Amino acid sequence: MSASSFIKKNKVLVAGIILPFLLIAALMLARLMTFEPPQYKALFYVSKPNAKGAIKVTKNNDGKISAAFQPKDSEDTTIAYNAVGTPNVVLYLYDGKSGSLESTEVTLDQNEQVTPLQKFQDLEILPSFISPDGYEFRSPYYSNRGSTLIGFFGGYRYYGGPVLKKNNYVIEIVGVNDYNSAVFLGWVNEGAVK
Amino acid sequence: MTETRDAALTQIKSLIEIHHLNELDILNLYKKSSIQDFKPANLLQLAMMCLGGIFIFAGLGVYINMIWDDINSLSRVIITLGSGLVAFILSLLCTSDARFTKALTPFIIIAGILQPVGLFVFMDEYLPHTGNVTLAACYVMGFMLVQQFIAFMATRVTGFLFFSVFFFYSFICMILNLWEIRDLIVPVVIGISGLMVAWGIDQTSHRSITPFYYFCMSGIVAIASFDLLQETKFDILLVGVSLILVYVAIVAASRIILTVFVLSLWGYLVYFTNEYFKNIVSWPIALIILGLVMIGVSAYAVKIGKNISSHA
Repeated sequence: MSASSFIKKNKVLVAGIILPFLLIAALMLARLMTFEPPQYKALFYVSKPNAKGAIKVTKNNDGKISAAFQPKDSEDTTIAYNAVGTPNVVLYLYDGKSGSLESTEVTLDQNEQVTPLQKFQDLEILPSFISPDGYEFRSPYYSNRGSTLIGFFGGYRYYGGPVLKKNNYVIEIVGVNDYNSAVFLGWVNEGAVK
Repeated sequence: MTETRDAALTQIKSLIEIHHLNELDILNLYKKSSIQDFKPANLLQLAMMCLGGIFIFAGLGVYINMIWDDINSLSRVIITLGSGLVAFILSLLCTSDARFTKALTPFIIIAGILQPVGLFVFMDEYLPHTGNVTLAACYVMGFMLVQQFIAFMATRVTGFLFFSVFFFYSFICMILNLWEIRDLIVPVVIGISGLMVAWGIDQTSHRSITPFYYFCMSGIVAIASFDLLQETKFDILLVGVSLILVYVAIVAASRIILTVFVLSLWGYLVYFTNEYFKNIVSWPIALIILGLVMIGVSAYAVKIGKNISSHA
């Protein structure tokens, strides 16, 4: 039986098979047509504490970031101190428009002092956790269940790494090492960068 | 006499060639259904055998779970994926020997369950962890879909078609999850697509698998329509969804869809009374009317069901 005669004989069956693909194509096309890439860069870090302690990166009241070494506190059980090596922090700056990811490592020098943040120290962070254009940072990412069936048909998803999310648009940030512990610092106010 | 017989055989042979029938299709013509083969006394034996099989599998599963942490990666893959592949190969071998046709379906089911599990285990043990579980599930469902469909095309065994359809919709679901397509219309379209595919299969010699898909897909259409329309100004269209289901039930001559129609209409009626009549004085009257409507719907469904069975 040739393909054309099979299709003629089984129109409903063929239409039923094609229907989900048509739906996916239509919805993806609609999504692409309304897609707006993130206008603000996202700043986040991944920390690797060790037996000496951990480097903490914080956002100051003036919107700038700073890093400080926090020695091990025997009563503090919130940080995993069992790791070996030098404590370090990798700062990441993700540009959603170009998809580029810049990073710098902050660690302890020979005098047990925190190394400089380099160009990251000039960045000014916006106070809101949601960017002015509506994106938010999540790591790890769990999508929400919308209704009874939507959870099964496209509503539930898990991604271990960091993502930028706005409505149904999810942009995965690829290239982050040890992504499970990514901590968001904020959205960069581009106008304030010197 | 001999000439007539030879002519009949030639005609049968040409019919077999035209319709691509195989040995199993011909055998099925002379085979009673498995339930008919078993008299009441033997049914008990069958039930006990099935129960015994379930116990053996449960025991093996519990034992593997107990030793899971003590065995290495290769052993884990061999236990799951290896067993699944062996069951799949045995099912293919069974298709070529009429003596083992009864073992065919169990082997297909075992392979259909163990292989996806084994593929997940294989990925977990040997491939780098990307954190993207949905993408991994896409690969597994895609692989299983291709394998089962090729097996079906090669053997024309209904069991492979059942799993082809199952993995096709599983694959579609994973794609939807991966791309975060979560519009409320999606499950409705998937349900309609499933009903169309089941109806298409119903027109072939593989119709024995369609009641399962009729039930699942019509249920999906009913629930997804409710998700889409509830608490909107178009919620009255839910009645239309029920009417479409009863129409499909009559066209497809399926009492399974009719059952889903009755259940969905009951659910919709409960929603309507709760939404529009709950906080008014006539709430008890609404409940009585609801009860009467449910009785009427049930009587109507039974009448249609009798018509379907008389036409079948």
